[in-house]
Amino acid sequence: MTRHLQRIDNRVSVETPEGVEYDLELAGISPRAGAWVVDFMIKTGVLWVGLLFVIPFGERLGMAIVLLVLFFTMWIYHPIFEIWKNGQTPGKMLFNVRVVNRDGTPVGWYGTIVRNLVRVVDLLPFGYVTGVMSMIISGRFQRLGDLAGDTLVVYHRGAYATRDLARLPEAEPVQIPVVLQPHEQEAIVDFAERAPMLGKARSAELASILTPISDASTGKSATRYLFGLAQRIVRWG
Amino acid sequence: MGMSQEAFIKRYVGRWRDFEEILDRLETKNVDRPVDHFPEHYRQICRHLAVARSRGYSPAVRQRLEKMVERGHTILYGRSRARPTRRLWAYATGGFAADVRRNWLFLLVATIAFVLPFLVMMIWTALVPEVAVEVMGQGQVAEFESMYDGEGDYQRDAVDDAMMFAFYIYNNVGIALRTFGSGIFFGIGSLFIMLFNGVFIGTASGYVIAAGHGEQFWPFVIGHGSFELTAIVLAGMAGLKIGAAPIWPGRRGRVDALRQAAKDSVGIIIGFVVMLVIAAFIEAFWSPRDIEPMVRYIVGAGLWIMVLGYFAFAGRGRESR
Repeated sequence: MTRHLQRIDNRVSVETPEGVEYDLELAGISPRAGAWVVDFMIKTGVLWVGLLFVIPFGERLGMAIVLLVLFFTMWIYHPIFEIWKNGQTPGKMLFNVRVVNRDGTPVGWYGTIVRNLVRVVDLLPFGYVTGVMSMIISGRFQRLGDLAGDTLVVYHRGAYATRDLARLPEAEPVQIPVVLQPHEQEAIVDFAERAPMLGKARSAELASILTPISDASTGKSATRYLFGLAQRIVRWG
Repeated sequence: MGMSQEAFIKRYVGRWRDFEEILDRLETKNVDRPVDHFPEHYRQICRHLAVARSRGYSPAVRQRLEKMVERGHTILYGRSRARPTRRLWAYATGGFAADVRRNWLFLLVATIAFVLPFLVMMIWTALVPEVAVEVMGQGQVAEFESMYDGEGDYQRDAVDDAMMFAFYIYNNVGIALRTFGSGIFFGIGSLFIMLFNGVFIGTASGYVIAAGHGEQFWPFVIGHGSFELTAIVLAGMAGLKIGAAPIWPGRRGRVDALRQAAKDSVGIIIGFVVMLVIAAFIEAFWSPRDIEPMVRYIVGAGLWIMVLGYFAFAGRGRESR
């Protein structure tokens, strides 16, 4: 994948010891914030259920249990899930993101302990302002905890990473008119995938840029032509 | 001459399906036994990806291979298969102490940041008890007064012990973890918490002495103090370590130095958390027992010698890595 596309799509490539690279798709602020909110609600819920549950134990023993539950939710919840569930807390599962080491391997004890302890600074002075600033500056959406723990938060099964042929708009495959470079092929397939989200007018406008190869056709038929081209490309022709 | 994409796929698609099946199996179940020829199989897929890229095969082919490489890479290099219990044992019996000694400079700074305000405030408050009200507030002072005045015939029972145990875990471990975490901002947070704790604990101790409750106070604190106070200093030490790394990165980049320091601190973190759990246990179940003060002094002194002896001598020769 070429550099500039990586920047646009928030990807980082990982090189394996075998000398080949693959891309990880970085998760931005909104899925991470969403995952945080879900985890927060789960932890609060557990605490409330705990409070109701311990009433029969009496004030003092109940207090002991609640304090231990509180300790669990504050310090153990995130590391345990990130180790046990391959980098995913329940909130992260819901938002399809996970924590990995910077080399793409599953996060280990080192990474998860450090990133979750440094959280106490990332959330300062309020609402994760420090963490968000660090995410913007770091260029890889790493909060301070991620920098120290050497971790990334990436999409689990990436929105683009698993390309589903069924998701391309239906069209009759057409013959490829000129030799297309890999990144050009990729751009056409990307276009076909995303066109339904762009709206008809916008995709027609984008498609018409390619009139030199799309047989001088314009408007809707140019879009269909590119869909056909994309179908041809993904069918390993 | 390379083969055409069509022929390439026809020839290898069976291998790819097999490999994807193996990946599915390995990802869903926690298979401990190595799978026959997995590394070879994985490396073959890596070669296919390299070939597909260099010959400009279509994105769909490349992405299918890329996904297989990503998943295979995760499985092959992801988890260390070393026995964690053995590593833990080696660390507990000496690696931890060696880690602490290796960071002697941070240990020194953290110790001073805690012990100095502790001693100053203890002596000052012991001489001028009014200082305690200034530092801690009237309510807290009254609470301290009632803890050690020996009056009231409330009998502490097992439920109280359990509750206090839970409280010490929640409170002390939480403070120590925060002391470490807040160090990332150039160590300022750690230093502040250390100073604050030194002032607070020193003032409390001084006040209890001034109020003449020394003979209740010292036998109580000497037992768990060894583990608890040492662990708090170690938390400060680890916090200063990660705070100092970006300021004095040596030959590394600043972020890289931070990463390394954080990685080196994880063993120390686990160490001081375990120490605080031990301390909570002693403080909840041993320290409040109504046993002859002499016995408690001897046990307490024994624990101090044990802790300090451990950090001074355990794991000698493991300092250099």
